[in-house]
Amino acid sequence: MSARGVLGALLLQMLPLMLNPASAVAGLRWLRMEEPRNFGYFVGDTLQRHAYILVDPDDTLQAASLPKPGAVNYWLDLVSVEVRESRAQGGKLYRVTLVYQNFYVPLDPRKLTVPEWPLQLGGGSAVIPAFAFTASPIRELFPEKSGETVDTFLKPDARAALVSAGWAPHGLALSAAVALLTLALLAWHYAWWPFGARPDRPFTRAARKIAALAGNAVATANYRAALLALHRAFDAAAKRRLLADDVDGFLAQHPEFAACRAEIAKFFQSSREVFFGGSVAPLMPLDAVETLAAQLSAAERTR
Amino acid sequence: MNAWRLRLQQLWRGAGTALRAARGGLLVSVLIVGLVGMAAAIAAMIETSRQNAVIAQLADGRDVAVDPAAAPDALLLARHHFLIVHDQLDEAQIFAEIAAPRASPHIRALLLYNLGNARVRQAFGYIETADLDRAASAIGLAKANYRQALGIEPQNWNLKHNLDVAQRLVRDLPRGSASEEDDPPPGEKAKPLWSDLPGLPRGLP
Repeated sequence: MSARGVLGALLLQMLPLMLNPASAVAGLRWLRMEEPRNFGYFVGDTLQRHAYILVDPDDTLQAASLPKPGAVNYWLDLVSVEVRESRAQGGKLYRVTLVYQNFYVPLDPRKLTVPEWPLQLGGGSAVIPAFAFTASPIRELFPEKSGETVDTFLKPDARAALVSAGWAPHGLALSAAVALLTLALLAWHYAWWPFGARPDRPFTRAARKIAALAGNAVATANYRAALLALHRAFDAAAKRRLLADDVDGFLAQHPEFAACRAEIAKFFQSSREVFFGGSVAPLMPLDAVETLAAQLSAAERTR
Repeated sequence: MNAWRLRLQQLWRGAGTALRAARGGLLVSVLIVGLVGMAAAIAAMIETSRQNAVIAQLADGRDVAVDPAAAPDALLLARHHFLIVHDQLDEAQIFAEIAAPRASPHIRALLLYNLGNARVRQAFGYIETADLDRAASAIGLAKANYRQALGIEPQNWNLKHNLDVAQRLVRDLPRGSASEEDDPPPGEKAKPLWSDLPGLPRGLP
């Protein structure tokens, strides 16, 4: 192997090192902390720290090197760790949010220190610095001197409060009002009590009258009364006395009854026979009159 | 243009006619909705007064069975407190453990708070009979309860207060060979236990 060959091989081995000088420099550009106040913490208080870490764009923060939520030491818990990644200043910006909870019970205001935490980057490392804060007591040093006893040391137990009915009374009032209102509208629509005498529902009234008559049927007087009731309903609907010859005009004015045209014609014919022809076996039996009245009653509700 | 307007008018009239024809059915549907709403509201009010009756009975000292796996939050707290007041601490502990996963965070914190209080009171009893070992272990359980509850409700002041009481009875000390920086400054460890407890038997360790 020539000297030149040896040199070449040597260069080839060094090539990766020369091509990748970044690994030595790469990594952390800066780390800045956003700390909470460092005084006036009571037992159980939480403190939230933000660490802003700017690294080169091809570098990464090793997730495994982040602290894990849990007890840091006997008086401090790490409640949560959250990492947010974004681009900034031509690099990668990490925001690490650490929430701690202090459980130290001091007897007098006392300086406590959240320990530092090293972070691993792809190339290099960073350290979240320690944070010192002052914890304060919440009780007297000697409460018994001011008259406290074993019975008053503890704040009282939490008792179950009576349950409030919440929305239910309002819901009941509202739905009852809705139900009553719709019931009233329905009564008006179907001409039920107290709207039984509603002038817009002549056929409904006639149908009821005829249905009552049909109960004790057979008698001719009943049949005549039924015919008369329906006649009065036609008169009321037409707002004038309606005769057999006027039926076409009436139906043109009130198209909602047009579906019963044949039955109506039959009714007028039957009525003429009974009242003027002296017919004993009417063309239209009583229950047919009743059916017609019911149909007309349904038809007038669509107006 | 005119044809369009005519068509629109026809559509409008058709919709009006259809709506008028459907009036009866619509009203019946609205009535049904109203009645169902009334039924639901009445059922909710009956349930509320039933719960309040149970709460009042338990507060009165009459036991009413409450299923920790199904009962609503208010009943959980009421029955749990009944067990505690009637010296059934182990049952209360089990009750809280069954109830915790489905109780609201606030109720969970209160269950733990009441358990902690009960343990501290138990410890007071042990201290009076000079049974300091059992007192210390009861306080340890109370502190764990309070700490867990504070994790749920960091700003509950009664919790903070009573954890302070428990801590002063038996102070937490660094576990094992904790590093020096975790140590609170020395001096406190030299303090005698029970330093702020009145009427304590003196001369005990």
